[in-house]
Amino acid sequence: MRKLRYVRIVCAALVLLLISGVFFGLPWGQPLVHAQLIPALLRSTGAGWTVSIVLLGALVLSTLIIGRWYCSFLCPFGILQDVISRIARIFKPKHKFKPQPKVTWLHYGVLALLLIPAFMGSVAGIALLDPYSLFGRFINSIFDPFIRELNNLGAWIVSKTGHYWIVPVKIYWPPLWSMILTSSILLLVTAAVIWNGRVFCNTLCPAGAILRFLARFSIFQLRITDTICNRCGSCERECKTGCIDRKAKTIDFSRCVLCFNCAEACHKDGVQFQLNPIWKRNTSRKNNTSSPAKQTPGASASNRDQSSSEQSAPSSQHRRLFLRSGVIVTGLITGAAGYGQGRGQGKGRHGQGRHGDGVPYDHSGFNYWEPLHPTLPPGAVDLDEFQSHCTACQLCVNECPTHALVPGFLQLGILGFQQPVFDFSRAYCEYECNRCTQLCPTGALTPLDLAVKKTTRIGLAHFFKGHCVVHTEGNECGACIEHCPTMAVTGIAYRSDRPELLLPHVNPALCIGCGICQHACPVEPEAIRVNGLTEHETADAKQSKPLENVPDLSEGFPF
Amino acid sequence: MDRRSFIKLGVSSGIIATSGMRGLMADTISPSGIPDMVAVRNGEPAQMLDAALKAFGGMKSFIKPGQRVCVKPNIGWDKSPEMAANTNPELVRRTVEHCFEAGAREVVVFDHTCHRWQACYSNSGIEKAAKEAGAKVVSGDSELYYQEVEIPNGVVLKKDKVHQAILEADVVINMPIIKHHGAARITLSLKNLMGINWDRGHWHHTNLNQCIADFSTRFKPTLNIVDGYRVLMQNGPIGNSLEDVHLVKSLLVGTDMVALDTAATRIFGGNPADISYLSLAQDLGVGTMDLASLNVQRIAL
Repeated sequence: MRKLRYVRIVCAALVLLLISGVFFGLPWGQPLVHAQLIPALLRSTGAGWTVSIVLLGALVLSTLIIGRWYCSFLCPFGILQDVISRIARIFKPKHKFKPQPKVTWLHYGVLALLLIPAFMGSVAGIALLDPYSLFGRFINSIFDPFIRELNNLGAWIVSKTGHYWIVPVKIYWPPLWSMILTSSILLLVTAAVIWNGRVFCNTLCPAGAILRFLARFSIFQLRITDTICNRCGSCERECKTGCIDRKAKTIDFSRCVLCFNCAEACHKDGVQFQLNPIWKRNTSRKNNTSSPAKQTPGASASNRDQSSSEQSAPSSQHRRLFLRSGVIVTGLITGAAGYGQGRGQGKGRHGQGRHGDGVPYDHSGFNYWEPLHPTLPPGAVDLDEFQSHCTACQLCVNECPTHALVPGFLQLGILGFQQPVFDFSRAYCEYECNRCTQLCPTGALTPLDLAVKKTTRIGLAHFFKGHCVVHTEGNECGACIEHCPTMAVTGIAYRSDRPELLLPHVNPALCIGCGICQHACPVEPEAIRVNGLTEHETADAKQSKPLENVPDLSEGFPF
Repeated sequence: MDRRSFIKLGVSSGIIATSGMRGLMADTISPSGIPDMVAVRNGEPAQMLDAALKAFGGMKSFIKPGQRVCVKPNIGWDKSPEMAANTNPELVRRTVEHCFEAGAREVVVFDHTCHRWQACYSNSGIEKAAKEAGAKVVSGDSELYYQEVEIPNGVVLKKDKVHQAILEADVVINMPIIKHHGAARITLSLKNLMGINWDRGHWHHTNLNQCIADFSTRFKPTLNIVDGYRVLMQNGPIGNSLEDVHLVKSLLVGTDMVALDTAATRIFGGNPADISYLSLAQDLGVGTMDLASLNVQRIAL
């Protein structure tokens, strides 16, 4: 038992590295990301649900067998808290954890509050405190820019010696509000960790609340062996969830994150996995005193302790409660996702309709000075469905090779808080890329093949002639024309006195809304801008005309 | 010694070197001596380059042993070599090899790409080819690498930020590809130099063609190697499908960018008078559009 703590530390360190790696383009940790509880729960109602159902089933079953191992082994935010705790210990070696109040109903209450926006078809509430997504936002808003800054400093110093082996990367600072919000949350959590360990996990964390509920009923639970324990308190001092009561010799297993600190701390190896009394047959409850050493104490302690005697109340009642509540919570979360999905069917909020060849292109409905509708990443398919799945973990934002995706503030409304949108003034959606659609762990983005993505219209470019330098200054520019990958933006001669001037013209049938035209436009704000679609469409692919008058040098050069 | 005198020295020493070898190379050297421009057709990229450089007396006419060379191909777009959106990688490879054969200390290859640079470098095949030939392949994507320079003869472009690899090099080799361009009509040597500057948006905003011409008054590459092997005839500068590309099998090499671009426009089937930046550059004394006044050597393989 005592070695399990080291097993946990090694596994957790590996998981933390692998999951962080996924945010920096390393593929190995991806299964771990897909196994995150809340994302898997959401994905089970969206694209890629089969894998999620399997992973989810494995998570629930394993929790029902040994409790909340997830929190210590698989949850990156939990592991991050352990790392912070470990660092704090360097400065305060004699730190002792104190027992925590249970606050069960506060924890479930927070979960219920977070579920309120779900009835409006958004997971914004859960997203706010989902531990995996919090970790993702920490990586995206704080860790990533810091690492890039460090890299570039190195690259610049090295380049001064005539070497270029450190490759500079662009630093795309996350929005200020996102940095402030994320760092404040991180500071608060750090303070809580320094004060008394995993406070967040047992008061606010939605994944923690679900697992806490399951762990109550887990078949095996960590318990203190009554006959061995002399109430020395070593385990209580090491318990970072504060769930051990030394005097009563009990562990509140619903709050235990299975870090095995107590098991290691006990000099007598008195903390052991034991069968949960509620799963014992009624007969075994009666003969508890005579049971073998490993299975005894749960019940024998109950003679003295009230909370334990509660646990050994009629087990069938507990089982029924477990089943009923389990169905309700799972139903609520998946139902919320499904609700948004249903709402999205067959209608777009902005009702653009299909932009075919025959549709005359009308720019008049758009005001140059007003922001257009934000553009969602490819694979989002539909705004409502997207909002009912995305927990704003920022994996797509961090992995976007051009860094055109940013966490949205209120562009998508309060229900879309922190969900990714394109910032085309910063970069554009790369034509030869479908990375974000392949990565999304919540099913908010449907995986798209590259060929499909290349004709997926996420927005539509609108040209504001009155602000284009070709029109206003009579300057030749053509930046948008040369950048367009689908040949949707072409140049047309429009002034008979200046035949060399080419005015941009958008062919909506070919435009996919990648935003590279907007990105290339030198005017501020851009004279060609993308209006995001709430329902993604399929664009036509350009067909090249056969070449006429090709150069023929067989007779010599034409000069 | 500033760049211009270096170039002059390089060229004149090349002239001296080749005139000594005139007897050996009588079949390729035209009666009037060193050509101003060599046009090669009907060969593979590396083969045509070998023939062209031979007419100039080898790469050693332009590079002295121990010099630092910067090669600037067009690597602007995330496209494969067959799509002819970027300079032919085999031509880049052979160019780098020639540089080292002439005794170059180091060869740096870069471009300030339009698409994401890592994707452009790898999918164009240029990164691999250049590295295999021994060149350093450098990112052009970080403003840290760009330094501000004055452009005294510029009409609208008075100063600009230029990649330090160019500023530190003794010899600059400009390697454009001939292709259709939706905005500038055709992109060539002069337009390719846009990729050594940082702020493209400023050029577009100010007056693209005048900026291209202004910039070339300050930066005249030692040598220009114009890739006319595969030519993107329509839907440029990116290209839509292989149907847009025509196999022309030509190569132009020379020192006068305006003359080269004039000849390349003719190969493309365009009228040089329609390309505004050519006449603007000619007016600024960068070069001449009058090919008849030049010693153009034509080689068929």
